[in-house]
Amino acid sequence: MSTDAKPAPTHLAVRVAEHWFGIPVAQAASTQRPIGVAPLPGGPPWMLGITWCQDSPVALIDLARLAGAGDGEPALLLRLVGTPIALATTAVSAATIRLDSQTGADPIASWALAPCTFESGLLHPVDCEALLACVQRER
Amino acid sequence: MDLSKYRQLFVSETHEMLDTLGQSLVVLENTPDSDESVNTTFRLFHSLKGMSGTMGFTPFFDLAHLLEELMDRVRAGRLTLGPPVVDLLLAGVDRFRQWIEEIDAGDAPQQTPEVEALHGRIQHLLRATEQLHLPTSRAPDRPLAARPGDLIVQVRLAVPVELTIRGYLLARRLGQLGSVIDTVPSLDQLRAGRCGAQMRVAIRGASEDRVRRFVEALPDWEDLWIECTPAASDEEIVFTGSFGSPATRPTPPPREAAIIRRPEPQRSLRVQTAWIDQVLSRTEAVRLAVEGLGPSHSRLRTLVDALMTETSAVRMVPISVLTDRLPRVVRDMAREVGKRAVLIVESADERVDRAIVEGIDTALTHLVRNAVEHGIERPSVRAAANKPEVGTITLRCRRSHDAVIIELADDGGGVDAERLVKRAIASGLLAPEAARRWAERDLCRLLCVPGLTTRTVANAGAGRGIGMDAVATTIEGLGGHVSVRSRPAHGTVFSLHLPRTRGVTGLRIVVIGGQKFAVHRSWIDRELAGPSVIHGEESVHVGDESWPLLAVPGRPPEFGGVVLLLNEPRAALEVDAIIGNRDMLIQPVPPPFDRIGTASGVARLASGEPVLVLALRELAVR
Repeated sequence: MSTDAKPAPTHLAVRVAEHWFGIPVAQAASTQRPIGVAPLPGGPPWMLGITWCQDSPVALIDLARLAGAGDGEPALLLRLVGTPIALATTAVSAATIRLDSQTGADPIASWALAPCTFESGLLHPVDCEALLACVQRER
Repeated sequence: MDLSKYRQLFVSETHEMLDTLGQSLVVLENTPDSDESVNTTFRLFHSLKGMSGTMGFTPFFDLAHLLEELMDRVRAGRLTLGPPVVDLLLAGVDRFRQWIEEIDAGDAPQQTPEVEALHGRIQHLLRATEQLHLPTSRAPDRPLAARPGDLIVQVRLAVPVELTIRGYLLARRLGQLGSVIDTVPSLDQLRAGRCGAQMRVAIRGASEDRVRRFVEALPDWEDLWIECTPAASDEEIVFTGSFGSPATRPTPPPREAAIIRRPEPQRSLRVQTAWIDQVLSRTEAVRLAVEGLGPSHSRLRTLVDALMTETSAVRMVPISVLTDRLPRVVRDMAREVGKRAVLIVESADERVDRAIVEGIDTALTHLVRNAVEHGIERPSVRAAANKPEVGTITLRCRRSHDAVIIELADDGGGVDAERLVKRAIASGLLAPEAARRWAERDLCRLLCVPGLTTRTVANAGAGRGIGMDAVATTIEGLGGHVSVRSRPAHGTVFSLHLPRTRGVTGLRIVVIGGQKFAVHRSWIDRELAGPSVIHGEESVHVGDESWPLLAVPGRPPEFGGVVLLLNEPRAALEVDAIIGNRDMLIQPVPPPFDRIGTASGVARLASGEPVLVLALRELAVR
C-alpha cells in the first residue's frame, strides 16, 4: 500500500490578469475556448459579455476587474456548476490548497478567502456562493 | 402495501382536479343554481377524499371530507353557495395545493394550526345547517323606499335559516352609520325574528366604503353575504336575481360558460422541460453546422429543419394551462378592492411553446389584476354610468401566422391619458412634448414609464408604478411586443403579440458601433439609406413625421448611413451596416443580466459567434 499518494486536487487554480484564483473543484463544470463574446450594452465593466458554453448562453465574468485588480482576458472560460456564469481566464491548472498555508493577508475581495501561498506567489480561494451573491448584487 | 410508486400519479391527478375545482368554484359563485356544476364539484371533493385516503394522507383526507360535506349541504339546498362558502372551499383548494407541493417533494401533509382553524370554520357552518329549520314563509318582496344617493345594503345568510334577531340587530347597527330609511322586511318583522334568510336596508348619509369596512369588521359576518350599492332611482331597487320584478331588473352579469371538463385520457410521457431545451439547442447546433456545409446538402438541411420543427412542437402546450386559474385571480382581486368582475376566456386552446406560457405567467397575471384594480370601476360608478355592476374582462387568444395574440379587454373606464401626462410632467419623468406625443401615438410607451402611476396610494395589487415596464420587457424578451388601445368610459385592450414557438425567428443582423446585433424582422417597418440623422438630434424626420431615435448604450454608430424605422416600438434605429437576414433560435440572456434590459435574447450565427437581440422597447423608454 502506497503511503505517499498525492492528495486529490481541491481547487482549480485560475489565472486572471496577474492573479491566481482558486475555484473549488466541485464548483467547476467545464472549460473551453470561447467562440466570440458579445459585450452587453449597459452591463457592468467586469461582465465581459455573453458567450456560448455547450450550446447554452453564459455571462462571462472577469474576476480581476470585479476585484478591482486589473483586466483579465477571455482566452479560456470556466463555467461554474449550476449557473449561467463563466469565468474568463488565461490558464487553468489543478491545485491542492492546504488551509494552513493561508497567509493571513486580507482577502482580495468580499467573495474571496484569505490568500494562500501557491507556486511562487499567492492564490485567492473563491467562495463561489459569495461570488454569485456579489454578481447578483452588483449587476 | 408500498404506495410510494403511486405518489407521482397522485400528485399529477390531484393537480388536474384542483385546477378544475379552482375554475368551477369561481363559476359556481356566479351560477349557484347550476345543479350539474354543483354535482361535479361535489364529486371532485369526493374523489380527492378517496384518493388521499387510499394514499394514507390523513390531514388531506379529513379536509376533503369536510369540504365534501359542505358541498353535500349545498346540493341539498341547505347552504347557499355565496362568497362566504366559496371562500372556505377555495381556502381548502389552496391548502390542498400546498400539500401537493409537499407530497411532490417527498414529505407527508401535516396538520397545522391554520388547517385546524379552517376545520373550525367549516364545522361551524355544518353545525348551523344541522339545526336548520328552513323558513316556511318568505318576506314579501315589496319595493324599498329609497332615492338616488341612498345606499342599499342587502344581507343574505349563507345558511338559509331565519336571520332571527340578528337581522334586527344588524339594522340597528347600520343605523349608527347613517339614517335607516326603510327595511324589507319591516323593522317590526325583523324585531319579531320573522324575515327569512335575507333582508334589505336603505341607508341615507353613509358612504359605501364606511359601510363595507363596518360589515367586514363584524365579528359574526362570515356566514353573512352582504352587498351594498347606491340606489339609482326611486323605483324598485334590484341587486341580484333574487329580488324585484323582471321589468326593472338590470342586465344580468355575464356568466362564464360551464368549464368543468374531464380531460380525455391519452397516453403521455413526462419529460423534464430542461431536457427538451437541451435537445432543441443541440438540434440548432446541428442546423448551424449543416448550414456551413453548402448547398449540396439540401436534403440534410430539410431533415434538420423538420427535426427542429418537431422538437419545437413537443414543447407546445395550450394557453389554457395559464388562463384556467385567472378567473380565481379576478375573483380574489375584485373581493379585495370591493369591485365586481368576471373573466371570460375565449379560445384558450391555441398551443404555444411552454417557455412562452411560463414566461408570460407573471406578466399576464399582472395585467389581469391591473384590469380589476385600475380598469373596472366600482359598482356604484358603473351603475351611475348605466353599465352592469359586474365588470367584464375578456381574454381572447388568436393565431396570426407564426404568432399568437393574447388580448385582454376590460369594459372599464379606460386609461386617463391626460392625467398620466400631467403626472409624468409633474414628477419630472417625461418632458411635456414627449409625454403628450406618447399619449397620442403610443399609449403603451407612456404606461411603461417606470414609476409613473395615477394612483396616490399603492396597494399590494397595483399602483406602485412598477409593472407595465416589466410586463413589456418580459414580452419583448420572449420575442413579442405589447400594444394598448383605450377608449374613455369604454375600456382598455392590452394585446400581447407573441411568437408561438421558441423555434427559429426571423432576425435582421446589423452592425452598430463595431458590434453585431439582431433586430426582429417583423418589427421593421422600413429601411432608409443615406444620411437621415442629423448629429445631436433625438429624432429622425421622415416627411411630416418624426421618429424618436433609439440609442444603444456605449455603442454609438460609427458612421451611420442606414436607419431602420420600427413599428414596435415606433422609433428609429441608426446602424452602420446591415449584414442580412437570418432565421435563428433565440435564447434568453443569462440571469441576472437579463434585467439590464438592453438585450432581450441571444442567438448564434453560423460561425458560432453570439449575437444579442436588441430590447427595443426597453431602449425606447430609457
